[in-house]
Amino acid sequence: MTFIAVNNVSKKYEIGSELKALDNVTLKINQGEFIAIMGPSGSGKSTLLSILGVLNPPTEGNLIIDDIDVFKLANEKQADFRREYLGFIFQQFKLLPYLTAVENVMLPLTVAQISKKEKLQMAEKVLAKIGLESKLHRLPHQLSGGEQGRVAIARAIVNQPPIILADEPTGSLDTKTGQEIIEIFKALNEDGHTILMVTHNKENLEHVKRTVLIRDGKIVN
Amino acid sequence: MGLWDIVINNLKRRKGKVLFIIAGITIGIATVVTLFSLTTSMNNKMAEDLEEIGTKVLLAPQSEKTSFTYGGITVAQDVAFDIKKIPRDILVLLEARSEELNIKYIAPKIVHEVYLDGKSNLLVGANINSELKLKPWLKYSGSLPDSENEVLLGNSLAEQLAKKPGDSLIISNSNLTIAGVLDETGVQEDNIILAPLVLAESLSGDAGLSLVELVFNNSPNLDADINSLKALVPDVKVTTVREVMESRKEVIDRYENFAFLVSVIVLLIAGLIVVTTMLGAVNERIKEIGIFRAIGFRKKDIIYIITLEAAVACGVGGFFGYVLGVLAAKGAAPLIETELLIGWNPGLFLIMITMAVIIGLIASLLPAVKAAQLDPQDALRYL
Ligand SMILES: Nc1ncnc2c1ncn2[C@@H]1O[C@H](COP(=O)(O)OP(=O)(O)OP(=O)(O)O)[C@@H](O)[C@H]1O
Ligand SMILES: [Mg+2]
Repeated sequence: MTFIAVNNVSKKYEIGSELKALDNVTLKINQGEFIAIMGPSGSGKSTLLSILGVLNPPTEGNLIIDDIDVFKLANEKQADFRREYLGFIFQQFKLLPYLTAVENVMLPLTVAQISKKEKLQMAEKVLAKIGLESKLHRLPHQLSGGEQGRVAIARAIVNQPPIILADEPTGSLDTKTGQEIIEIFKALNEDGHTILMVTHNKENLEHVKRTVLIRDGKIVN
Repeated sequence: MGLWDIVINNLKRRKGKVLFIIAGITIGIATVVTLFSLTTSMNNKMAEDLEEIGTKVLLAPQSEKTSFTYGGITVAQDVAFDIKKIPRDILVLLEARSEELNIKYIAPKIVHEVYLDGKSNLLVGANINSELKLKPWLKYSGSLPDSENEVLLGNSLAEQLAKKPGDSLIISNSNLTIAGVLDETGVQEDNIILAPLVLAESLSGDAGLSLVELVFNNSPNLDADINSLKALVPDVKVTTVREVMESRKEVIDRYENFAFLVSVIVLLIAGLIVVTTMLGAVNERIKEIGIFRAIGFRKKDIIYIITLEAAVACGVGGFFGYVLGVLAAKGAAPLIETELLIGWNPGLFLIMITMAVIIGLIASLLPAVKAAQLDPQDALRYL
C-alpha cells in the first residue's frame, strides 16, 4: 500500500526559467521502506527531500502522504503535519547551539500539550535509546560530530513520526562514525519508521532496501 | 521546554539587545511617569489649596477709572478725583451677616501707590495676621509687624532696595521699620509693601477701603450666598476670584498638554527602538526560525516567541522606568513648586507596566510577522 506518493512533481526555483531542479518526478513509497536518494551534486536530491518534508511547494504535481494532499493544507496545518508525520535530520544537523542535548531533543515537543516533565522523560528516553544518556546536559559544541548526529536523530524521532528524512547525515562524519549512524537508522527502520536518506556514500547502502537515482532533476532508475 | 523557556533563553543570550530595549523603554516610561506625577501633584495641590482657602470674592469700588490690578482684579487708583472708595461701614454690615452668608474671612485692604527711589510701588494695607491665614503660601523671614509703623517687604522689592529685616524705610516722610521680608512667591506679592491697615489709612489720608477680600466656605449654596452678598452691597463691584485659580489651572493645563505631547513622542521613539532592535534580532535568527518551522512550529508560535521576548524586555523597562520616573519627579518637584507631594502610586505602576508591555507587543509585531513569513526552506539554507 502506497504511503507516500510523489505525483509528477516539477520544481522551478526561478519563475519563468527553463531550469528545473526537479522534472516530472513520480515516486511511490510504502510504509517501512528504507530509501537512499543518490545522484551528483546539483541533481535535485535536497529539493526532492524538502518537498517530501513539506517545506518547499512544488511548481507542478502533488504530494500525497497517508491520503493527505499535504500542499493543499493551510500553512498552519502544514506545520502541524510536519510535527505529526515528519522527523528531519538536516545536513550539518542544525542543532541549536545554545540548547543542551536534551533541550534540543525536547524542541519538537515545545508546542505539544503535555507537561514539562513528560517532555523531559520522552527526550531522555530517546537519548538513552541512542546511547547518549551520559551527555544529556552538554551543549552541541561539547559533543563529537557523531554525538551531534545522534542528538539530531533523537530530535527527529522524539515525537514518534512515521517518516524520517535525512539529508546527508553522514556527510560530515568519518566512515566509522557514519556507519554507527546508519546502524541507528537500520534499528529505527526495524521499529517501523519509513526512512528517506540522501547520501553520496556507497558504504551507507548496506541496509538500504531501495536506491533512487536522480540526475538533472529526473529519476533515472 | 516550552515556548516560554525559549523566550527566557533568548533573552539571556541576547543581553546587549535586551539591555538596549530595556534602556529605551526605561527612559520612555520614566519620562511619562515624571511628567504625569508632576502634573497630578500640581493639580492635587491646587485642589487642596482651593479647598483649604475656600472661595475668594473681592469687593471693589465701582469706578470707570482703572489703573492698577491687585489680586487678579483691576482697582481704581486714588489719585483720580472721581475715585470712590468703599465706605468703612461695609465691614460692620459684613460682620453682622457673615455667619448667615457662610463667610469665613473678611480681609479689608487699602491699596496705595507709593514712590520709592522714584519708582511706583504698591503699598497694601491689611490685617496682616488674617492675610497670612488667607494666603497660606506666604512665608516670611524676620518678624511680623507689631506696631503701626512696621511693614513687610516683598522679596523682589527688598532685593531691589537692598533692605533686610530691621532696616528702615522712608515713605512720604514717615520713617518705617521693615519687620520682615516675604519669601519669594513668583507673583505680585514679591513687589508689594504689606503694611498694617492703620498705617495704609494714614498714608493714603483716606478712611475708605480699596477692596475687601472675602472668603466663603465651599458650601453647595455658594452661588446663592454670593448673590445675597451682591444684593447686600449693591454699590460695590463683586468679583468671584475663581478666575485667579482658573489662570493657575490654565498654566497647569498647558503644562499637561505639553507633558502629553512629550510623552507621546518619547514613547514613539522607544517603540521605534524596539522595532529596529527586534528586526535586527530576527535577522540574526533566520536559521533558528527555519529549524523551528521545519520541526513543526506554527507561524503563530514564532510570532508568540518574538512578541513575548519584546514584551518581557519592555515590561522590565517599564518597571525601572516607573522607579526612575518617580525618583526624578521627587527630585524635580521642589524646583517647580514647594510642597508638591510625589508618591509611589500602585495604580500608575500597573498602568506603566501594562503600557510598556503593550508597546513591546505592538512594536515587535512587525518583526515577528516578518519572522513568521520566512520561508522555512530558505531559512534553512542560511548558514
Ligand atoms: N532556493 C533555491 N533557489 C534557486 N535555485 C536553487 C535553490 N535550491 C536549489 N536550487 C538549484 O536547484 C538545483 C538542485 O539543487 P539541490 O540542492 O536539490 O541539489 P542536490 O542534489 O541536493 O545537490 P548537493 O548534492 O550538492 O547537495 C541546483 O541547480 C540548485 O542550484
Ligand atoms: Mg543537497
